[in-house]
Amino acid sequence: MPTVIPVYEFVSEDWYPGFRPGYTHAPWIAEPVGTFSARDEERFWFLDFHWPNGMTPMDYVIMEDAYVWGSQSAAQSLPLPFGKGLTARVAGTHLYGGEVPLDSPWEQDFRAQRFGRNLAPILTKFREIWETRVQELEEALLYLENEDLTDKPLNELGQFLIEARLFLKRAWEIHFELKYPLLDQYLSFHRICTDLGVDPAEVPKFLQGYDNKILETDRELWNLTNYARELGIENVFRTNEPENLFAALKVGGPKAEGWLKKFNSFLREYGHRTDGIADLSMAPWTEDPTPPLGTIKTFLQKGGTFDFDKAHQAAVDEREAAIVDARTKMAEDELDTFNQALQYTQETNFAWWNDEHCFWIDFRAHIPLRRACVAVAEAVGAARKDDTLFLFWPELMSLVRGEKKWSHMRWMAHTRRQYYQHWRAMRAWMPKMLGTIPEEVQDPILIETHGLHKHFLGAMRNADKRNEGVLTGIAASSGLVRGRARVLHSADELHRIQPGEILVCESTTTSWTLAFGKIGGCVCDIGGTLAHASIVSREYRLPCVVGVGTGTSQIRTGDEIEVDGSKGVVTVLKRSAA
Amino acid sequence: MVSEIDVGRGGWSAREQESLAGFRVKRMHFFISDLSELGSMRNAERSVGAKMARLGKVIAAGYAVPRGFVLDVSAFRDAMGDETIAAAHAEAMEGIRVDSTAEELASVRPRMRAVFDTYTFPEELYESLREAHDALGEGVPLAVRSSAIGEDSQNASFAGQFETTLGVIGFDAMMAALRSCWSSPYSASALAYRASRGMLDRPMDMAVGVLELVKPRVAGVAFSVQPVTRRKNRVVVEANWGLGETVVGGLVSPDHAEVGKTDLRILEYTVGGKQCVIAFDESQGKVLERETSAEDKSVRCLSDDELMAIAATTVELEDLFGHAVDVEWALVPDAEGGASRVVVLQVRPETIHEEPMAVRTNYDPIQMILERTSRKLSTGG
Repeated sequence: MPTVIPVYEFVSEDWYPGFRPGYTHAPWIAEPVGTFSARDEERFWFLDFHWPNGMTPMDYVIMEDAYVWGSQSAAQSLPLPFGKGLTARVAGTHLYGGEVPLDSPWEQDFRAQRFGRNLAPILTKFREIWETRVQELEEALLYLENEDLTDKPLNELGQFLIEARLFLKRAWEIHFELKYPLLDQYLSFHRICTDLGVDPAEVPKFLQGYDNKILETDRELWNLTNYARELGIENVFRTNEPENLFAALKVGGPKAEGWLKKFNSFLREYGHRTDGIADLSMAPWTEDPTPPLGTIKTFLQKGGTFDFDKAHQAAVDEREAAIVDARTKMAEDELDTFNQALQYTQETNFAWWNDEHCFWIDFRAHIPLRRACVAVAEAVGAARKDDTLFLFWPELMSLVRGEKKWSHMRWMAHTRRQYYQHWRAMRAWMPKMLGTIPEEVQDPILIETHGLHKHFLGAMRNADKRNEGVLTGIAASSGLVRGRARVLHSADELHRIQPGEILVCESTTTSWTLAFGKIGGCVCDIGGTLAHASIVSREYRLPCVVGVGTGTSQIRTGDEIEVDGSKGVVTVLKRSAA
Repeated sequence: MVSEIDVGRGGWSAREQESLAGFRVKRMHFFISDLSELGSMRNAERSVGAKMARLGKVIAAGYAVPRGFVLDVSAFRDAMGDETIAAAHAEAMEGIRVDSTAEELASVRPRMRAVFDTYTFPEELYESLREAHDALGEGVPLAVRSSAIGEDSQNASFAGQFETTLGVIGFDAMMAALRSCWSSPYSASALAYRASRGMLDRPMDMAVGVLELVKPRVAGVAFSVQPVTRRKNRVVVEANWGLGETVVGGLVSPDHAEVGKTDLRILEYTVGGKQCVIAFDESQGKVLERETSAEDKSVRCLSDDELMAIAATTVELEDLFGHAVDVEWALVPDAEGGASRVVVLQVRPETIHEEPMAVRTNYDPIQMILERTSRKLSTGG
């Protein structure tokens, strides 16, 4: 008996006010984005944790170009033998992802042959390919991030919008074109390790501790924290809320000014990022530095100096020790195979790339588009700089071409913002899944990074049989911790975390990494051992349980909870009074 | 590499060889063979059973094996030809079928044992047995081991079905143990095993080995393949203090070690609980089971060198026999109480029920991805 979560509540051709099907018509390969139809109930849909705030009308571009085009073009060109990539549905403003199935067994075989042939050059030349791609991205970003948009006429802004969108699309092609091969390679490595008798929990350790841009950002934030302490300006941080910090530092005297100078150069290098993945509604740090300043504030609050390099070295040492330990237990022929596989995998290190590419793509590639939208809003005299995000792409185009006036759109944008906010508040109550929950899904990205593995799907099929107050999931990082829960739905709330609290969320992405320096443990609704939260928790030596399914709805901020990262069990010890 | 290990694994010392030679000259009857002669005997397993024949081969290859002799199958057949015994056999076995009850099966051996116990050996054979016994030395504790013809054959392992008596001292006790061995094919478990294999109507032939009881510091078994994963790249060694019977009989959690076959690298050593010890108690003159001391439980019973010597012997024996083996071994200190050497007590072909799990010899991630994908497609429909 399949478990079916009805979709009827969300079946509609209506969406945002003024939206109608086919209103936007970006090219797609296997299946376009859409609203839910009754037939979608036969398929499987999962609430995608990457967009916890929901999608604005302009984010439709993200769904079309990044999510659907990106994954489907990679699925088509590699070509993936197990599916045609991802597609998306919207319920309220929330994105539900789904696989585009590949039904013909002949086509599966047909694609498998080519997949095998095409994969070899990608994997063996991975470093070279990635370098070339980074160069390509970097060159485009140099233009798109530095072009001065102030006082540009609308038609030129229109041109820039088109360029920014083209770039976004290309960046996400790269994203999926490399993610599928690397992840698949990693899964082969994982498999061979377990075949060779390695404890599965040890495998991710072999790939940890390689420096990447995200860790580098972290290190710089700690350096800035230490510098603030050195200058004796902790007081400014203590007495101001994160959102006021920038202004307060500006008038905080020569020492604060000196610190800001350093902070600004940090922003130039690392500030082209948002706290969420490809989310146009989030301001990048360069636009609003509240998130990094809030993080530095809590780092200061935490007290003591954190030796980032020491922690990093510990991760490296743990990696080397894990490798030595695994080798010790292998017979000579096994050792040969292991060494070969390890070397191959270190050259195509998915765990490393999974962080590194976020710096270039996931957190960054959409920022030029947001910047252009904000510039248009300013140019047309909109009340709020993100008002234009509440236009659909064709509407924005007609605005920049002068075919329509902002005064005709203003009311619509306002109404849509209310719609957006209404649904944003509904996030915690959105069903995690819709439609027919399958035994398993095929797409490795969905299995490994979205955590839609068999165990989790099984748990979701039996969700109502759960014992309230005790949640079980995947033991992702060992250790036992008790503490106050902090339930967060979005990375832009990260600065609210108090040191030692246990983070409870749907899932984390690389933008949440900063939180791990201050939390006591982590609980995620979804995820597997390779999820971001799992990897970072191991690096920070924090207990972590992922794939618990209903943590964010069963646990409330303030509850006292226990996280057993060795057994994969989360227990609510005491409910908060509130 | 092997020769550098400071644990003796050689054959007999000159002094021991001399005493064996003395016995050989005196041997008078074809029923009895010294273990050291079996290596050159044609079709030895047909007259002394596979267990003793293999020990002969091990001796001939230069490995240390306890001193001893074998009473071959013709003595048993003679006994079976005895009127009383033949009648008892016919009577006891009547009505024993595949579907006989446990009680019916258990009723056979006591009756056969009674007639074997009163059987009168041919005088010449009796005297030869006494001579052979005396040649092993006055008051030397012995192990009397059954060696069935057809035991450990390819299609029937009979593992552990027949009897071994440890710590037998004196000629009379040896004879009693020998008679008991002869009746062991009539035990309920041996009969059930034979019934299950459709071998009930075939006569079971029995030879008996009489060996000097080893007094090992440590003993156990070694497999030339990993018995669980079936991988052939490692030797698995299980060990306990004292005699190996605690390990073979599953009475203890032994120390468990795995050693790389090609490089004799120690891959794993897990200290087991080693709950009890079975050893020859000099003061009481018999083999006794006792609890292991707290200290002995918690420490390794094998040093690295000892472990490697056992593994090396196992690998060599696998080469000698040309198939996977399991080896019962004992580490016996030399007469001066110095370094131990590896003594081989038994070698069996390791019964392999399934293909070993292959170790991928090279890493081909793409092939693995395609295998994974096609597996998914075929199961996922």
